[in-house]
Amino acid sequence: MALDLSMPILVVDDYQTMVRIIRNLLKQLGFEEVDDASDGTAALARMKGRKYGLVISDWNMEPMTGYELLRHVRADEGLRTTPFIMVTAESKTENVIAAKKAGVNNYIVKPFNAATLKSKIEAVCGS
Amino acid sequence: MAHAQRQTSTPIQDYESATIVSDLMQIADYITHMREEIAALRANEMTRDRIPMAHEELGSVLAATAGATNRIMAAAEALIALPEGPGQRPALEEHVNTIFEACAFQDITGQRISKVVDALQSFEQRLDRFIGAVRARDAVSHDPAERARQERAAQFLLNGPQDEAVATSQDDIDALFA
Repeated sequence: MALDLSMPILVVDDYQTMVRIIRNLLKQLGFEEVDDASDGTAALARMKGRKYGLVISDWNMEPMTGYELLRHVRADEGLRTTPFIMVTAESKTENVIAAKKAGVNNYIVKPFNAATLKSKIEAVCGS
Repeated sequence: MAHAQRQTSTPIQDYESATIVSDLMQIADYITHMREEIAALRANEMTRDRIPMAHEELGSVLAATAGATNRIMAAAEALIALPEGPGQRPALEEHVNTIFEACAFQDITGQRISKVVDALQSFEQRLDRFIGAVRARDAVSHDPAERARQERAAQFLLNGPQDEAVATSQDDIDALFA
């Protein structure tokens, strides 16, 4: 499945090691344009300034969670079509269902591997 | 005067006095028992020694795991960036050795976590005994910070990582998105 490797990706996680892991995995997949933010508020500010081809977000962050970020993005006319993948340790079914209802495109449970990340990106962004 | 009063007391008054004395003795016994149970709780030892020890050990575990993760990731990133050529093999071995060395954190952190687990088991036993002795029931929390934390967790579904046995698997999640 063809992926646009030039599309900018925003990684949102308050744990810098996880940002580093995802950055490295994305780099291995060929993505070079990767920005990061440490919570939903910072992510929204970045999204207002740049159009991203994909958002990969954690759930549990302060002050704005990834779930709130997702709802903000889907409620914003200019951002609502941005593909959004949740990458989180929140593995209760109610979380997955709530995220799906809020409009998430895919959901990855931590810990995950490169193959899972790749397949979800392909499923969401592949043409 | 008191002698005269005792002479004039009725059987009912004598019965009431005996009941009051009996009740007071039971209360005195209960207080003595409670003092023994509170002493057995060894609350001062918990707050002075063992809880600070647990904080310190867990802080060390956090620092050790973060340090090891950074060393491993830096070595892995350096491995990926290694240029091909005659010096590649020695450089590769150096980075792989760094990864092996960094993995040694697990031995030490395991020992630190064992100390904390021991302390928690001790607290649990003491509290269990105390709860049984006083037949304690939980009151509603009036701590505003705790209440705000609980409300936020409920509102935004902050359930945290689940036990593997009950967590939704990636396969089940994928089925929901199929």
